Amino acid sequence: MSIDNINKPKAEIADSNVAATSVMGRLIQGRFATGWSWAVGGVVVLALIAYPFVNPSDTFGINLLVQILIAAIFALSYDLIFGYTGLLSFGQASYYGLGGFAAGLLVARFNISNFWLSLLVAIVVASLGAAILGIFSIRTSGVYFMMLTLALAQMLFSLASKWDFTGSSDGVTFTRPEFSIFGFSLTDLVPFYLFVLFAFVVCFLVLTMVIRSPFGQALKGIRDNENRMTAVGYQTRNFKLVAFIIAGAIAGLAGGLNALSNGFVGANTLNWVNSGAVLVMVLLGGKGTLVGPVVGAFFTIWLQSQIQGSGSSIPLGNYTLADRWLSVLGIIFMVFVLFAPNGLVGLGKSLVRSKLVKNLLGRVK
Amino acid sequence: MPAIATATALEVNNVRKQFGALAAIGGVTLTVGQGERRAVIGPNGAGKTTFFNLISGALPLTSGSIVLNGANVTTVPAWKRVRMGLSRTFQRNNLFLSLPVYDNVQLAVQREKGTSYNLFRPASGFPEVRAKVLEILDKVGLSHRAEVEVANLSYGEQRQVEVALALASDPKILLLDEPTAGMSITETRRMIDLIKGLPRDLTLMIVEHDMEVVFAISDYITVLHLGQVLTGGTPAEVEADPRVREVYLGEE
Repeated sequence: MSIDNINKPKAEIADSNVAATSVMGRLIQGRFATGWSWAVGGVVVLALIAYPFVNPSDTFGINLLVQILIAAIFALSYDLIFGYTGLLSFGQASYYGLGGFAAGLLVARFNISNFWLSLLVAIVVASLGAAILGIFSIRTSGVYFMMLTLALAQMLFSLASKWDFTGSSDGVTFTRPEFSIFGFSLTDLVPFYLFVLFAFVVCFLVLTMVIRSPFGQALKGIRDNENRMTAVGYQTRNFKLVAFIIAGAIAGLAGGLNALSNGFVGANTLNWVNSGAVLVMVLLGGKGTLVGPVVGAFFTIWLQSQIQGSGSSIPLGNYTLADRWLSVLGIIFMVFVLFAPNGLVGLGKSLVRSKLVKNLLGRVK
Repeated sequence: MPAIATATALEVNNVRKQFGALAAIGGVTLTVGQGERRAVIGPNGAGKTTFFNLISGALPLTSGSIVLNGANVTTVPAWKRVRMGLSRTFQRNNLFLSLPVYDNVQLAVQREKGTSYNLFRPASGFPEVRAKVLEILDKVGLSHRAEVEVANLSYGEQRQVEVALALASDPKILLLDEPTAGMSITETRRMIDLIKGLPRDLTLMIVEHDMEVVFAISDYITVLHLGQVLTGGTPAEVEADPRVREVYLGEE
């Protein structure tokens, strides 16, 4: 049986055409807005491509950008869970660490030195890990979910820091697999940087597609009101599990890239501090947006490098500012949670909507 | 027994719900025929909303059984009951507040159309989903508010979204929990018209305090009191029943 146009006067049917045009209007407006965002994004990516060619001697800067892009991929993965599905997980480092160990151990313990295979194994192992840990975690909610994700993640961390196979507390050093694209060796800094940039863009586009899909809509529905999702017929558990696996795969890629960039992977990648770091990045940039985690990753990693570089000469009691990096991050985190819960992106949006800017734009016209 | 019943849509057999020592529902039995418009009334604390939660599967029963269109659904989870044709609204607005009205309805429609697991196409790119969303928005009178975030709607408009979400699952049985609560007189009239305009083969159960609404819609009324069926009958019979007046007046 369906809800038909029974007894509906013609005027009301005409009404639905009005609705259609207004919804069309919304879509067109949306397209206009996203058109601008894509243009800005394109310019940023082009600038990032150009950077190493303009400043070929700035290895510090290019190295920093590699770290930022890897952190951005990791933060994007976490935003799918936290920002879009509304699940405050403290275990995202598990998948980052699993990816890193999978990529590194393949070289160090199985003597298979293949760049692509390392990345593939990183993604597969991390998604499997996310599926297994996810099945346990998503049965719970609220505080229990937080505690369970934290406990499972810390179990992996202590396992890796005690097991010889994973290098216990020393970690695993390995020779970076040789690979070249178009004759450029990826063990060289600039080609590797460009490859990481490429991986970042792919992850961003894939997540954009997922967020806009009906599946992405369902995740937002779960974030807003899981109980109501059940009342319209969704088995929400399946959606959460698939979100976990997608986020796990992307975090695994980030972890794999990190290991391949350093030729080293250690148990610390699995530590909860790493999960806390992406949480801060996502909140700082703006949760529930894809630009937010990227901005947050950029800001956090850049600030860390600044403080640990020049901050080591700034005294702070018996320590230096650099020693207190985590405290600095904690204070920034608190300020954002209290005063700008929608992060830098949220601040930017309210600035654009503010009267000041509207007046300025009006004058330009 | 119901006047126009042809087939049984819902059977509730000796259902009990115990919260600790309190029997919120203490052995309720009733049958609702297909296409019937059944009102459930009773003073505050009679157990009306708990009763709806048991039927929809939001709460597990302590004992008894529930049969939906011939299938025993006593232990079937809530999300599956929706797929068997049972849909509901909530007494307190229970919506996706950060999403626009259109996206709220789209969530319910895409579930019904089976496109929710698609990861690759934009949610707005399914013509059959889109047509259904627009049809439902039109039906509940929210077409002009499609782009507004639900959090920015008036309370009455949010009530309309409640009904839109319930209708979007193409229900065979619709449970309405105080659909006009908190609405203005104009909004209430509009809601009555909407409910009256629903297809006659749709089975309707409504919890309502506004007697104007109850008398306008229902063809049979069940009176709950302290978790039990006090009496039942046509609106005229119930209105004339001295026991009904007693429980209502005794309350006040």
